[in-house]
Amino acid sequence: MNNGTIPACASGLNAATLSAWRDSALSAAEAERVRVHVARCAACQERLAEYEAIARIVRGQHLSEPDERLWRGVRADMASQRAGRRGFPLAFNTSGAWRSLAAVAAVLLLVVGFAKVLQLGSLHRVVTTSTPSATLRPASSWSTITFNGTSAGYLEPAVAPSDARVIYLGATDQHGPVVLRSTNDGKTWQTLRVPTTDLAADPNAKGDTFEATPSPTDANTVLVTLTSFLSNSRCPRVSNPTGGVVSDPACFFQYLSHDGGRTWTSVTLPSPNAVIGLIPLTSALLRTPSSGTLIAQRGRLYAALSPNPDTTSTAGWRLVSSSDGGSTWAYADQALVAHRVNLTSYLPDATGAGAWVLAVPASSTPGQGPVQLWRTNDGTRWYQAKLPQDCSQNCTLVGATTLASGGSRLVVSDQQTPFEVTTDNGAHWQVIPTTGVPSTIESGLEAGASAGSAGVLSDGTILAMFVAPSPPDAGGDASQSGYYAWSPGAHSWQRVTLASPSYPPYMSWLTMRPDGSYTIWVLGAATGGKLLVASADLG
Amino acid sequence: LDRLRSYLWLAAMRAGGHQKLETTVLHRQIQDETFETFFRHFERDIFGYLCRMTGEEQSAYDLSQETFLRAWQHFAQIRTYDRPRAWLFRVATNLALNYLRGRPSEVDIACIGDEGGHPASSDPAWRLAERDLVRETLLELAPRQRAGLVLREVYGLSCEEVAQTLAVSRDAAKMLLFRAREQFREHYTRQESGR
Repeated sequence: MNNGTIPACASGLNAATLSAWRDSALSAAEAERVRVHVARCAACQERLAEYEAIARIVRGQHLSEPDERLWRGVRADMASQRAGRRGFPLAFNTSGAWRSLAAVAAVLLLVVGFAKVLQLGSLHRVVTTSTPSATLRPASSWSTITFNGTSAGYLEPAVAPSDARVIYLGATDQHGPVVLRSTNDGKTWQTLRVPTTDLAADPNAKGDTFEATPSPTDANTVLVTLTSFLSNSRCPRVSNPTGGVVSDPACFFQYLSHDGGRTWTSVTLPSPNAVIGLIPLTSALLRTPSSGTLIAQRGRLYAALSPNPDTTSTAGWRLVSSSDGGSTWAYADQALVAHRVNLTSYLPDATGAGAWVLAVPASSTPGQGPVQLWRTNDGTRWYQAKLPQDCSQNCTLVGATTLASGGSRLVVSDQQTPFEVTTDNGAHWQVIPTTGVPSTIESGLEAGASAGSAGVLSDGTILAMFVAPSPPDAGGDASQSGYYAWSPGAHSWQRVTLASPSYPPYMSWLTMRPDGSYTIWVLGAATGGKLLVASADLG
Repeated sequence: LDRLRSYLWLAAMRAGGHQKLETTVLHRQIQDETFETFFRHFERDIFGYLCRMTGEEQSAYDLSQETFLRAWQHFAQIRTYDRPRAWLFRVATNLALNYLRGRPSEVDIACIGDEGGHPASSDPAWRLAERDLVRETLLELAPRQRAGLVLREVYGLSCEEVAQTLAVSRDAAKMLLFRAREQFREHYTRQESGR
């Protein structure tokens, strides 16, 4: 291995990106850009050669082979178990390992549940009375939701923001894609057949419902995205370096219903083969509780239009809007595009036409930044605002609220600094300390407050999910994990308690309604191969 | 939400996507085989992985035994999985991380093979030193970085599978792998130049 220092890439491509490229963990567009760059960059080639050398060295390590002692030990344990007692391992102190057996089993069931997309047997939902954020009350009631044996290919329940009793769930039964719809908070469910005209050309193409997204303003309007890549032999499986994601736009079909799923029409987009709504417009919270891919603002719907429905990439996004409930869509970001930037996140004000946007220079490689913050008060004129110094790469728009003065209070986050707040359009930023969050979990803010694990209530209170950095079965302290609230003017975070069940170790997310209320959804313990989902509404 | 979506998306792909073909054959084989066959199929991978994780032969035996006992306890389920190896790696990883947290400071007999020279040298002394160097460098890494690097580079798990095994997000796994490589390089070159 080279003992010297590897020269830095003259074009500024960082080593982390090269590493991710080696791991096939970039989007197709990013990977292609890196590939082209590497072909002519000696420094990057050298670093990649070093990474390859590391792989060879680790692979080439000579280890002893297991001998028959191992099988004898396992067999002895098996015999002991059959006899009702536990055999002892060869010399291993099992106290730590056995302590977490139950947790490991539960987690494995959960993980395996995801991996195999199990039959969804029941959905649990906890509802609490919405309360002011300063006195968040624990979840008080549970209800069990059952389906009639339909396989839920995708688990994410989408609660209509305008009527929380209406819930949609994309699913698949033996005949093809369906949408499950409940109008009574999940007590009963109706199976809606989705058109498969586009799929019918191939008798082998059964199709699956990929997503069902209700309109933020009308509970009877729902956008569904079907995909046929799982069963359609004519649907090319595009090899994607992000991990096998199939992302051929021709495999996706979108339909809209304005009558709760009785009739469906096609969606008209400004670009052929594109899809809308598959990518949240901000990695923070949106106006749609579940899927978060349609935004309502002043009677219009906004969505991200993706030229390529690869959910892990933001390359080539455009902002589109519809004024007819989602039937026809047009570009809505021309004014911003004129500034030669590409939008990556869009966070509208709850009222008015204002919005915050994160964007990157159009000339830069997606994901390489530098990220810029832009603000509009009227949707047409944009100006650039200053981001905190340490928020130029993994910056996330957490939430914005309107101040009494009419200005906007914006909360951003990145992985180094959980939360920073500005009330003067970025001229000054206040760092929110993690006071009050137990030290065992303060470094575990989920994904830098992105991905729906944090948000801002209408009174400015920040809600954030903190978890132990290690999973419980690896010794992490899950007892303190959960949502914490920071109210404006407060001096410490306050833990939001759930009466029953307690927070699960993994998979929790936060969604928001137009009235500013929030729902916490949690994937509960897995029992018998069933995934349970619970949620708690918080004001 | 995009995190969840990615999980579901990838999970769906894994359930019905391109990886299914290559695993179906193995899946069917396992259906018809006994637990011992299952054990024989994976013992080298699991033992080797735990050797690299702990650096100790005895611990690798103990943790491998524990891993396979758990596999036997859940064999009715595991034998239906498309990728039982991922399950085994996940259990082995959790056991190893637990073990390393409470490990006494004394180092056990190292996991060093008796045969097989490094292609770069035929000198037995050099080979031994090289093996020690790799082992020491791996043990210098944080356990989760070590797990990620070994799973990715030795056993070919994808970034997403590493993320699932370590129960972290995909972005966190990317960063973990990057840091593991940089740390490995730094420790390795430092120790190499000190010899």
